[in-house]
Amino acid sequence: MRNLKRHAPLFLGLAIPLGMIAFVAASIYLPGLFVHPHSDFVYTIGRDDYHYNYESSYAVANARIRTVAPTNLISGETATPDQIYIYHVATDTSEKLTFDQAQALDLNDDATSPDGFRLDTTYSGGGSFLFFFDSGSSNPVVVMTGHGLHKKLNIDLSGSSGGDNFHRLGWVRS
Amino acid sequence: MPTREEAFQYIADLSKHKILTRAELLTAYDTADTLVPAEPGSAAAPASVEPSNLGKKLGIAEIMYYLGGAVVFLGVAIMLTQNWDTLGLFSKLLATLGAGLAAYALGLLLIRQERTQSMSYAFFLIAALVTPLGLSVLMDNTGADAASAQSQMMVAGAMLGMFLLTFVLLRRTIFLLFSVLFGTWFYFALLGLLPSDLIFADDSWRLKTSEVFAAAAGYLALGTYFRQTSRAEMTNFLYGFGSLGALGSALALGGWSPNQSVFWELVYPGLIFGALFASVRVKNKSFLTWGTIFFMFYILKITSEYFTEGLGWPLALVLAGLAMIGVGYVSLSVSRKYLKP
Repeated sequence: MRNLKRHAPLFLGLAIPLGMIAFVAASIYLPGLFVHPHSDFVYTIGRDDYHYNYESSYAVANARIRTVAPTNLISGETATPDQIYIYHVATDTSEKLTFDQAQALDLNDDATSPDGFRLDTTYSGGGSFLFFFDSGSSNPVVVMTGHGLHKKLNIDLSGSSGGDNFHRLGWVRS
Repeated sequence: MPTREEAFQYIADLSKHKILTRAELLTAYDTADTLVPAEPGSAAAPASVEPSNLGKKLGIAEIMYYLGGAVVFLGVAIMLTQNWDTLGLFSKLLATLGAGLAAYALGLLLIRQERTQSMSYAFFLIAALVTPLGLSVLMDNTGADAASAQSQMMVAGAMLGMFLLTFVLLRRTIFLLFSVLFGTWFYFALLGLLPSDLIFADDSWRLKTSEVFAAAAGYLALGTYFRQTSRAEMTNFLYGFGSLGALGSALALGGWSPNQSVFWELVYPGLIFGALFASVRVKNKSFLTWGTIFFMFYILKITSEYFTEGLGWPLALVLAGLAMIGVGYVSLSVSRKYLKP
């Protein structure tokens, strides 16, 4: 018992940092075990890297996707339609859609999904170490949040000029 | 085992040369039963097993050794920076990993003799600084991102393992010190691996500061443990950085108006007085020094946040200045009364 009391500060000194790691890990991963979003959504990723207002060439009206004329074209430039994707939340995968396939879907363009989740774009990674090793700039990622969940989605934004080029068009009504 | 007379004479000598105070002697007497059962070679073994230089004041020779070690590291780092694109992999590895391992081996040879022990610490310092650089060069060459949290965790883990193993084999406190430093790096790299910025987003600085607070609290607990063992040389380092980290991060967690944290702002004076109390309790000046400095910062912060609009800046500054003089006086009194050797 006396030995245990004597070693208590040692255990405490190791337990505090370990507890911090456990707390942060639990905050991140525990909600994912109990919260399961089920609303798929349709999105586009703009490909231009010199238009700074990042307009999408599609929008949703009356629950259907439609094309919109971009207003940010440079004189003499022709509009290139963005690629449309559907994100399957159950499998964490994206699938390319043609405009006709997308038009067949019934879409809800609310910011929050019917089951209470939102989409945000943020940046993660990046940084440097000592003088020589550089991770480059941080990468844009799409994050689904809601009900305590913060999940980084498997959406590749590396070909676009940043998170602003990601456009959620609408949640798919089942 | 010395006779009673020899023991009394030895204690009298220690007292005469101000190596041992009356309170320390009583503490040692009271805790004798917890120190005696320690097995030879264990972390709590009697101090005589290690002729360590860590606890004593540094002489000019030791300072030159350590400065030399740091300069060697700077030389390697600058050479790499200037010639990164022209040096081949072998040259880079030779200058970093090769130099680090050679310094480590030389340190192991020198530490065997008391005459060259201080010098060996300088070579271990070179090894501790240069070897991680070499491991990062190695990782960079394998295509891994050497700046990523994964790579840093692996480098820190390898260094931690190397110094912990050396400590277990040679039982020298210097290796424990390096183990704590690389363990701290490992802790922050592991936390960096977790995608916490997704959750805490704009508040991620608050999480990072809490991580520093937790590390500092760990340091303080470890300092308390080592204080009662033969590794007491670790105590000043752990208490110093622990109190700096804990008080600094707690002050930062208080935030700034209008986004301040009322909880941390209310708790902070308690932490300050806890630090001042601890300085007397464990007879360590680190708590008193950092407690005093951060108390002054706190007074300035609170004054500028809450009292400048009502009282106006000039009067608020006068009051803050007077409060700081009061804190300084109390700190000096505590130091003279309780911490004077």
